[in-house]
Amino acid sequence: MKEERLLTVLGMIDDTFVEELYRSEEERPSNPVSKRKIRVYFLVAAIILLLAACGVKAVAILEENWFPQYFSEKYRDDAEEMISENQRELLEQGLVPIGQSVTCNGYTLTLESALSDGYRSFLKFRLTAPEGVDLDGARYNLEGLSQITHADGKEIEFSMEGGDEYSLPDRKDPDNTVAILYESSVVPQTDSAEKMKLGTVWNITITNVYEYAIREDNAEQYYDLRKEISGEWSFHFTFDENTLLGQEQEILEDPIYCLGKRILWERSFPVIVKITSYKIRAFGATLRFEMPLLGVWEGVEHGPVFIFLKDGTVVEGHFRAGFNRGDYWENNYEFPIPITPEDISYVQFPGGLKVFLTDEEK
Amino acid sequence: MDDQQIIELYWNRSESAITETAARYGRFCYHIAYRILANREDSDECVNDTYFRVWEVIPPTRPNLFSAFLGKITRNLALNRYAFQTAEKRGGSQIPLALEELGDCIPGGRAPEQVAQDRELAEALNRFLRELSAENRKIFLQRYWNLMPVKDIAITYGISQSNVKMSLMRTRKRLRNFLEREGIWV
Repeated sequence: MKEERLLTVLGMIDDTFVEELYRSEEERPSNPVSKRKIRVYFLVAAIILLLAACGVKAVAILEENWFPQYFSEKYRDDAEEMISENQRELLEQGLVPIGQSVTCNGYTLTLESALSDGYRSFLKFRLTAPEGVDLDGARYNLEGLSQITHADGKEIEFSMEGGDEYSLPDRKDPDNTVAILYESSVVPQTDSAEKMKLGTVWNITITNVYEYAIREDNAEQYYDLRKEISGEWSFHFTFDENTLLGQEQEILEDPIYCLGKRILWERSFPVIVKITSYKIRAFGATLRFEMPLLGVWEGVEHGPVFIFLKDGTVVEGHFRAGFNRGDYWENNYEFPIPITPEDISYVQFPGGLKVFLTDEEK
Repeated sequence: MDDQQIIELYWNRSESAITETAARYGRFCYHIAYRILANREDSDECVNDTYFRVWEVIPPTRPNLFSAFLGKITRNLALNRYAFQTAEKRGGSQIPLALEELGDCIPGGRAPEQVAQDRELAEALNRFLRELSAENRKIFLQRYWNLMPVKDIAITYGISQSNVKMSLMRTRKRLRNFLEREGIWV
């Protein structure tokens, strides 16, 4: 394999490099001064200064309409008011106004605001190019790294399942700015892994911004990379008790049994799947089911779960990630719009079983 | 006993050279082997192989920095052992054994063109490493030469794990661009 060869040939590099490595280890003091503490003090000071200087409230007023507009446009293209008052309130409650700006190589990247329900997060950036440089790409992608830590300094291990960027052209903005949404799923890798919670500090560094243009070829649309903007834009912010939308609602009081499919290659066989839990959050849901006894090459599929809202909207969760937790299987789904339990009429499980959330609906 | 004294023991063909090496660097070599093999017995055997290999090459070799010299040998032996074990898992237990036995009757080691290609790649890596800053070079080599976990690298240099990951990501990207520019395909 190529990787193995590279690893092996690295063993043939000049001795001077290896000696440099070990010499520096020998010279290193036994207890290096922790830069982490210094960073924490710096972080606190920076946040205080930022709060005083920028006026977080002002940012909040500017930002509060952006996310409702985003979810509306993403879910229904032409409607005027697509989300309910409850959904709008939810978005306002979870909005973390940030307003941190960093300029690098003439490009200013501003982390304007963030939203998270603990599993799925939305970071809204604004990119501003130097005067005279238009940002008229069809899409912008961000590349970088995230580190999420609890208030006690413990780092959260998580899998960045995807990291979709969604750029909304702000029609009234100048030509040299564009809003970019960075969406990611922060799914705990193990059952005992730390989840995002109150006081979670998020450090994110963006190193590249890619601008794409649309090319049409035989009526098909393709995204072509047009420009790569390199730099280093670092941000940090905290989800506090007022902003992290961490509440989950269990829909099932007792396990339910649904018809599913055992899949073997291209063939499938009916099987009963025992669903033990279905928890709904603001931006997604987690479904747990017991894995039936399977053959070596077999997999199991259960049908889709639909959420019927009181206004007639039907929402289907988009599958994001599945985990084998040992005793049970866990699938994570994402909703195209934010959901509050108050808006739900009932949840329909595979096979048509309906679970109503309020007594009067039954 | 310092490194120079241990090396002198090897030159004098004193068997206490191995005892002294084990006392001073046994744990160090074990860590390197264990990071690759993740198995106690295999790592112990690999460390023992390291001592015998050192015994074979000193003299005539006189290493500049004994720890680096030992580390390099341990790493290469552990990678060989790892490759053998991986092949064993892939092909059933008898195939690698048979291949190893047949290897006794094949002169030399790898094919000359393979050796030349590896040497060319190693030279390119040397040029690339010289271009890097000392800090980025050390982080890169700790990860991919020494196979040290990111967390340990962060502790070693007193920086955050995200800084380590960032440095590694950039260096990998630069290496890819460098190899493409040089027309070298791994």
